[in-house]
Amino acid sequence: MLFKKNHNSGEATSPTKNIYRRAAIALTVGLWAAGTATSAMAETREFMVKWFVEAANAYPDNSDCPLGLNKSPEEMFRAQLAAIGMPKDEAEYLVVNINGGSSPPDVREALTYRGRVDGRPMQAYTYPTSVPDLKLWNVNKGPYAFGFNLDGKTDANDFTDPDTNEKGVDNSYWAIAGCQTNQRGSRTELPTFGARHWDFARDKSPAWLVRLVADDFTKDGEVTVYIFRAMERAARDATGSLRRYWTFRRDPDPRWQNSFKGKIKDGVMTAVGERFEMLGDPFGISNFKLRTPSFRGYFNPDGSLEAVLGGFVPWKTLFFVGGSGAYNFETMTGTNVPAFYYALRNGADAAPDPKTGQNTEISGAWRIEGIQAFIAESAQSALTTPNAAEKARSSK
Amino acid sequence: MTRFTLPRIATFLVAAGVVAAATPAVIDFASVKAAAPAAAEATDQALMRRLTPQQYQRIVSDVFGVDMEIQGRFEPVPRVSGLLEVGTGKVGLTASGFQQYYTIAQGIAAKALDEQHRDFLVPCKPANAQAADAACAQQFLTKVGELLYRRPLAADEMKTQVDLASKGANDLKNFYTGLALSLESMMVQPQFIYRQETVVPSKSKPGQFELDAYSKATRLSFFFWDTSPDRILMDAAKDGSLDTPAGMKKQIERLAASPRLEDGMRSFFVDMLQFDQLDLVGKDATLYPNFTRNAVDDAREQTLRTITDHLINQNGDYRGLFTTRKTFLTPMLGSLYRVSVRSDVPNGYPQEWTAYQYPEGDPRAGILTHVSFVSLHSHPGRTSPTIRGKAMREVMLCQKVPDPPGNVNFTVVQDTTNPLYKTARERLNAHATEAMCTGCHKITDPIGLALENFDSDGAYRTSENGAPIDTNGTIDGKPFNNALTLGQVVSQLPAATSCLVNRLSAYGLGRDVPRSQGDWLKTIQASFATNGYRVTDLMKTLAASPEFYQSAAPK
Repeated sequence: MLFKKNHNSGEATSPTKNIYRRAAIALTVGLWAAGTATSAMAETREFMVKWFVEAANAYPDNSDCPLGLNKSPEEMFRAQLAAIGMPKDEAEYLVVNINGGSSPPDVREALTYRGRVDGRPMQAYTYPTSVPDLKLWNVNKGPYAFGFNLDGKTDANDFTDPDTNEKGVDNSYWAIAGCQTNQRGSRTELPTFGARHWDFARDKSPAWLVRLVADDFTKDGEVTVYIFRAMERAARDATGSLRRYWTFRRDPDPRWQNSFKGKIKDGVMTAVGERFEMLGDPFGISNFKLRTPSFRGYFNPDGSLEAVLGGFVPWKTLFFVGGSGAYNFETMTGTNVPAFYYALRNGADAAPDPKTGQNTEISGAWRIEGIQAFIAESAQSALTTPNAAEKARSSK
Repeated sequence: MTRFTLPRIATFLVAAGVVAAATPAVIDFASVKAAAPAAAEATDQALMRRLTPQQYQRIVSDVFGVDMEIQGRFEPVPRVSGLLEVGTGKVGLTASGFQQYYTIAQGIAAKALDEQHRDFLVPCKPANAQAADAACAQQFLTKVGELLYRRPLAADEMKTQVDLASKGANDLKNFYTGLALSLESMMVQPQFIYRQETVVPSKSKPGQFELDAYSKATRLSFFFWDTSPDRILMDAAKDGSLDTPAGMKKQIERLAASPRLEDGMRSFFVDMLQFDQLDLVGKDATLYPNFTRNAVDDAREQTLRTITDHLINQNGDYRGLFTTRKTFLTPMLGSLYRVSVRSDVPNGYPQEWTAYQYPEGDPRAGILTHVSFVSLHSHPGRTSPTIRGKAMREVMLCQKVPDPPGNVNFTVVQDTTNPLYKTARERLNAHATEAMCTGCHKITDPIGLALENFDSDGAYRTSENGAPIDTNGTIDGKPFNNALTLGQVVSQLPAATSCLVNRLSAYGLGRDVPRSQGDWLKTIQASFATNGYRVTDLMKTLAASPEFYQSAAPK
C-alpha cells in the first residue's frame, strides 16, 4: 500500500521492503474484483476524486513536532493581541466571545482589524504582515513525509517518503503546517483542515476526474495519467458518501487538461507531468497550480484509486484560501490567517523572485482518493454553458 | 348502509337537496357497497370501479388543467387476480376514506374557481359576482359535470347542483364560492369516484344485456388512455354511433392512434408488473449505497419507457420484452448498472433519459434483468431466487404459487455468512432437503437462480462470498444457462403470451374473464398470435369484441 498502515509512529514509518509486492497484489485483486477483461487494446480506468487533501503523516506521539503542537486558536489570538498592545481584559473579552459566524459584531470587527500600522488598525487578512509573526512550530525535517524529490537534490530539509523510501522528498508545506492541530492526520484519518475544504467543495464545485490509460494494468509498462475537471458536481449515495460509477462530462477548457507520462512497476504507477492546473472552490482549493507535478498511485482491492500528487505550488494561492475566507475561515477552521501567511512565506522553497529573492513557491504533496466513475466528452466548457452566458449577459 | 356525517358539507348538501332528506346530513354509499361483489367467482356482472389515484389525477388534469394536484392520498386497493384494477371493483369506502376524497375535492374546486382559473374554465360571466346566477352556473356544471360523471347529468341532478351553487352564492355572497361548493359536492358523489356501468338490453342479441353507450365509452377510454372519455367519445356515445360496429371501430382506431395510448399502456403494465410496490422497496444502504429513492423511481421509469417504446413506437412483438437489448437510462441508473450514461443538463436539473443498448456479450437483456424487476423481488439485504421465481410464475406466466406454510424454518436460507453455503443455490439446496419445501421450490428456484448474477440492488456480480454463481436451470423442461437464455426461453412459453391476454382482458373488464367467456378468450389469444403478438392490436381486438361490453342481467 502506498500509505503504510502504521506510518504515524516513528518506528513504523520506516519504509517497508515489500511495499511494491503488496501494491501488486492489491492491484491484481482490484482488477479481478472489477471484473475487467484484459486485451491487446489499451485499458482505461476512470475515477472521480473523492478526496484531495494534504498528504498528512502525523505521528501519534507527536514526535514529528519536536517543539510540540502549535498553540490553540485562542492562544494565538491572545498572543497576537498582546503583541499589538491590547489590554489583557479587552483581549480576553474578544477571545472568549469568538463564536464563528455568530460572533458579536464588535468581536468580529476588533479581530478582523487587529493589524496595526503606525498604531492604526489594519485588516489582518488583507494585510497579514500588519500582525506580528507568531513563528509557528514546524515538523522536524528529516523524518518521513509523503511526496517526491521534486528538485533532484537531497538536503537536510528534505524528507524520506515512507512508502517508496525515496530520499530528498520536497514537502515544505507539510513542514510548516504539519504541527497545527487541524493539519494532523494520517491515511486513515484525514486532516480536518483539508478534509473540510474538500467536503465543502465537492458538493458545490465540478468534480475532479482521473483517467488512467495503460496496455495492461496487471503488468509493468507505460501509463498515462490524466486529471480533468468535470462539468458536474459529485452525486451522493444512500449513505451520504459520494456515488460510485457516476458519469461526468469532461470540461474541455484547456486549463484543466493535465497529463502525466510514466511507468507501472510492480503495481505502482509513477508519472510526471509538465504542468498541473485545476480549479476548485474558492473556500478550499481555488486556482491550484503545480510546477513539476508528480503522480504516484495504485488500485485498492475494491478497484478504487489511491494516489499522491506532488509539486511546487505558488504559496500565495494557498494563502488566498485564508485571506479570502477571513474571519469566518479563521474562527471556523482554527487557522490563524496571519500566522499561516508567515509560515507559508517562510517555508517557501522554490522559484525565488528575481527582485526580492523571496521564494514564490512551496513544495507539497496531496493525497488523492478516487472512486470509480465514467468520463464522457463535453462539447463546451463549464464556463461557456448557456446558463453562464446568460448570467454574464444579464450582469452587464 | 354506511352513513357519514360531515358538518361542513351538510350545510349545503342537505339544504340544497343534493342528498336525500336526512338528519344529520348524510351521503348514502349503500349503492357502492352493493355494487362491490364479495364473491370470488368471476361473473360478467357490470361493476362499479373506484378510480385509482392516477386516474383521479388524470381526470382532474384533463378537466381543470395540468396544474391541479392531488393533495393527499386515497385508501389503498387490494390486488385481486394479480391486478389492482380488478381490486377497484371490490372496494367500498370508509368514513376516513370519504373524508380524504372530500378534502381533496375541496382543494381542487377552490383552485379551479380561483381568480387564476375561472376565466378559462367558466364559459360565462355572472351578472353579479356577489350573487347567484343560475344560468351561468348551469353552463359550467353542464360542461364539467358530463366529464366528471362520464355521462350527461339528468335533469334532477343538474337542478340539484345548480340550486346548491345558487344557495352557496347567495349565502356567501360570492358566485364562484357557490359554484365551488357545487363542484366539490359533485366530486364526492359515487358517480364521480366510481366508474359506474349501466346495463341495457342488447340490440344485436335479444335476451342479452350489454353496457349502454356511455358505459362503453368509459370502458374504452380507461382501457386505452386510463382516463375519462374525451368530448369526441362522449359525442359518439350521445349520437349512438358508438353502438354501431363502424362507429365503435372508428373510436377504437382513434384512441389507439393517440399519444395518450402510452398513458393507458403504462397504467396497465404498472399494475401487471406490480410496480406500485416499488414505492415500498428499500435496501440496506450499507450493502447497496447506490440504491437511492431517486434510483428506484428511475428504475421504474426505465422499464416503462422500454415497454412503451418497444410496444408502441416500434410496434414490437410482446415477447421481445424478455430479450430486447434496447432500453433507456439516466446517469443515476448508470451508476447502478455501472455503465457510462452522459447527461447534458446542468447541475440540479432533472436528468435526461438516454437511449441505451446493451452491447453484445453484455449479461443484460430484457425487462427481467432490469433493476426494477430484480430489486422489487429481493430482500433488503440479499437476493431471493424463490421470490424472483415466484414473481416470474405469478406475474409473467399467471401461474399461482402456493404460499409457504407457516412453520417453515428459514434459518439456512437467511444466513448468508454460513461458510458451508456460500451461494444462494447452496443455501436453497440445503433448505429444500425438507420435504415440505421441495415441491414449491422446484417451480420457483430454478428461474430465480438464473437471475442470481443480479444482486438485490440489480448490480451485476459473478460470485457470492467468493464462490462462483451457477445460473443454469430449466423451466418447463427447457434449459437455460443465464438470464439471457432464461429470457429467450420464457419469451417462447405459451403461458407468457396467454398470461398477457388474461391480464389485459381482466384489466379492461375489471374482473376475471368468466368461464362462460372462455371460448372468446381463446379466440382473442389466437388473434394475438396471428397479429405477431402486437399489444396495440390485441387491445383493439379486445375492445372491438361485443363480449368486452357484455353483461349479465341487472340485479
